Amino acid sequence: MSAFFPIGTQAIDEGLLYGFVALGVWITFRVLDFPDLTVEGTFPLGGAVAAVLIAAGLNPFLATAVAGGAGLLAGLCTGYINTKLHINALLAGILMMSGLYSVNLAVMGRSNVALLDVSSVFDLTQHALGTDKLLNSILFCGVLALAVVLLFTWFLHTHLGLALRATGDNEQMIRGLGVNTDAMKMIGLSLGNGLVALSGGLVAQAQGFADVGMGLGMIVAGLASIILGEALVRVRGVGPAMAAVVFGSFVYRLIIALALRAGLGPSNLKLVTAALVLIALSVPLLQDRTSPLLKHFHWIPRHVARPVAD
Amino acid sequence: MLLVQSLTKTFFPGTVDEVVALRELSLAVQPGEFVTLIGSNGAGKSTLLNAIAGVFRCDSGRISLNGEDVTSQAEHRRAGSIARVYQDPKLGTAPGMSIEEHLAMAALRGQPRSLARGVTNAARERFCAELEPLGIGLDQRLKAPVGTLSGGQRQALTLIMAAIKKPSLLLLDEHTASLDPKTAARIIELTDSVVREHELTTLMVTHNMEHALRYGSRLVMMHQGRVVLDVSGAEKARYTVLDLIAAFERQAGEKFVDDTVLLT
Repeated sequence: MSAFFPIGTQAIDEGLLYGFVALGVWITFRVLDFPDLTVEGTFPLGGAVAAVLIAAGLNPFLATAVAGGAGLLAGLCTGYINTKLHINALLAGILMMSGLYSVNLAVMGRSNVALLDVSSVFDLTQHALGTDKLLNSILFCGVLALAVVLLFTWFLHTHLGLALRATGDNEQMIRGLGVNTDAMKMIGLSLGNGLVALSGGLVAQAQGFADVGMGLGMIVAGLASIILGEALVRVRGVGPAMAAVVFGSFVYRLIIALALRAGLGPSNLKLVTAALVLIALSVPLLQDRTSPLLKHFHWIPRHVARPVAD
Repeated sequence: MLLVQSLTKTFFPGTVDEVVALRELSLAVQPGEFVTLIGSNGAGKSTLLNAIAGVFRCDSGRISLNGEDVTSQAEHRRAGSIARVYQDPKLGTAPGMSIEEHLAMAALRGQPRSLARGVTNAARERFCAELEPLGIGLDQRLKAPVGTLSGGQRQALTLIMAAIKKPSLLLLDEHTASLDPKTAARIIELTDSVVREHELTTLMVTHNMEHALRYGSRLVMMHQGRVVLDVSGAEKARYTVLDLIAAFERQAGEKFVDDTVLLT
């Protein structure tokens, strides 16, 4: 128990920090039904922009906001490439992700920027509140996450938000009602990537540096959080769904921390996460006994001595 | 009102799959007319509806609506004046969104979307009043995701969505074809009452000749991308299914092969 408690609090903190990534991925993958890979580039973009601006002396709150804004623009580019230049969604994301790698290096001027003698948003809030470092981080990120969830719950219930959700749910229908679905995709991708870059900016400040490689595996981590959240909390409605995603992000970080504690090497984490997502996604198929997929898994004992059909 | 002038559309031009779906087709529909559109498979009925709705551009010809040339206007731009109900109930609805959200989206057909609340209490009351006469309890389930509704319920909802903000033109693309006979009969009755009540200018594609004769004020038969029969008013009222088949064979110069129309 004494060993679990710090791990648990640590996971709450990381779950909230990376929760914005999960929320961003939720908006593109779930709301917009757009498999957006830009995320792997916008996360370090947010980190790079925040770190460089803070190192240059800009107010860290402002720097974090600018980092989020950079993500908005990157998402807008992906949307433009997909809708106006008619490039497939996956390829549009890959092109952006690849291009952003160089952009991130250019922003930082080198492969990483350390934030040593400057104040981050966490330093400032901790100083103001006078609390413990970890507790302060949880409070700050928690309040911010709550604000984001409430803001998006409101937005997704406005006329514009309804049109955005319908674009992901039945594009043909909402276009037939006079909505420019290209614009909706650009808005959705912007918002999603804005949240991811915001997360990148916060993570860079929390860990004290931004690194060009910090985005690796972010999509899979985000997806894992979404899947865990959906599996553990069955809810209806967009607000509760977003809260479930943040909770899933916490559970994911907890699993990772426990796996590390159990002796798993950090280098294996991405493989473990990928396997986790794969299993979670394929379980519904394997549970369906009529699935044609099952014939590839005939070695899994289900009905002992069941005669082979046809 | 709706004016289609020598419209031609060829799919897969220059390939072995080349299909001329519309050949110099012209059609004028007056305000308030309820046109039923029949024809064998591949006659170009759905292509015509898609062309009018702006799903694709045509090779040549003109389409104008309310005096405005919409030939090269994007689908979402002309959607403000055109409402559609599809054959597949899934096409007209978003499964993850609620009944009230669907009506809220439909009530803003063709208008810019603001950051105002989508479903207000006032709107909810109005939606209840629209749904209640259907008598299928949709007004009691305003918050239910549409994915939980049956095909017939979805088509009924789509019809209400089509009429909630009066369109200049209503396009019905075999919207009862995928329903069981009893439900299909209910939906076609509902269609008739909605069209009458709102005096909608309507173009209804159907495979059911009896429906084509019983409903609507005008009947148009298509064959190989052309209009081969166009009757309205008293003349239409005299037609029987057998007359239609005879007319088809006379106009098209070939035997009528689709015997399913005789069975329905």
